[in-house]
Amino acid sequence: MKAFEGCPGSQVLDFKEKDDKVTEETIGTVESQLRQWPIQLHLISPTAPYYQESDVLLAADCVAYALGDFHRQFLKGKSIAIACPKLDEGQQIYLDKIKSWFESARINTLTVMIMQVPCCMGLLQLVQQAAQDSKRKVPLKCLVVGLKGEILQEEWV
Amino acid sequence: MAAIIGKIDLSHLIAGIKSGSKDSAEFWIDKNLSITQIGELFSMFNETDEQIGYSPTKYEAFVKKLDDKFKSKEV
Repeated sequence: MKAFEGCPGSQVLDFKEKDDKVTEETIGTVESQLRQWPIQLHLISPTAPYYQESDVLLAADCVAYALGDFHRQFLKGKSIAIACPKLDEGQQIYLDKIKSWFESARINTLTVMIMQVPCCMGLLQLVQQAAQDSKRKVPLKCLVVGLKGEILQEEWV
Repeated sequence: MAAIIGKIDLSHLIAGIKSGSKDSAEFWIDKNLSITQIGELFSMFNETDEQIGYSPTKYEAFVKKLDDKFKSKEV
């Protein structure tokens, strides 16, 4: 079989076999941990009340779909914004908004969640750039999510 | 006496250091404190640094100078 030569982020993969495995599932409705609106990084105001001095989660768009327990394990107790470093335009606006989180909203921590595909690293680089440009320093945590919903890496940046 | 700074109880860290646990720092950061607590502690350290005028860049340059000096003497 010929190896896939395109962008790894666009490679077609089928995880159908996971359906056959017996997994523990929650019965009933799982409560949403979302406590704000909007969430898309272009739409949010970085100085909105729910970002002030809070623990913020910046997740790549695909993360919440890949992780089965995203709300309970990662979103709970945090304010969120989502973005796609590959497809979204206006990266400078993103940079300014993240910087504003640090300096104006005085957020407590920033957790970046990205997928394992190479293009997702752009989101972490954007955050690191904003942190470098910012006068106020904030602890940054990065989690890399595998395509099958596993946490591949978790570290303070 | 409870070692509490702001909202953060540091008793477990101090106990770890007293017991000589090699992993006390890692244990403290990764397992005992929540993300929120780490942020609060980080912020308190920053505020203290600002108050005393601590400049990391000043010491970074000093450490680099020493590194360069002694690296050149390594066999």
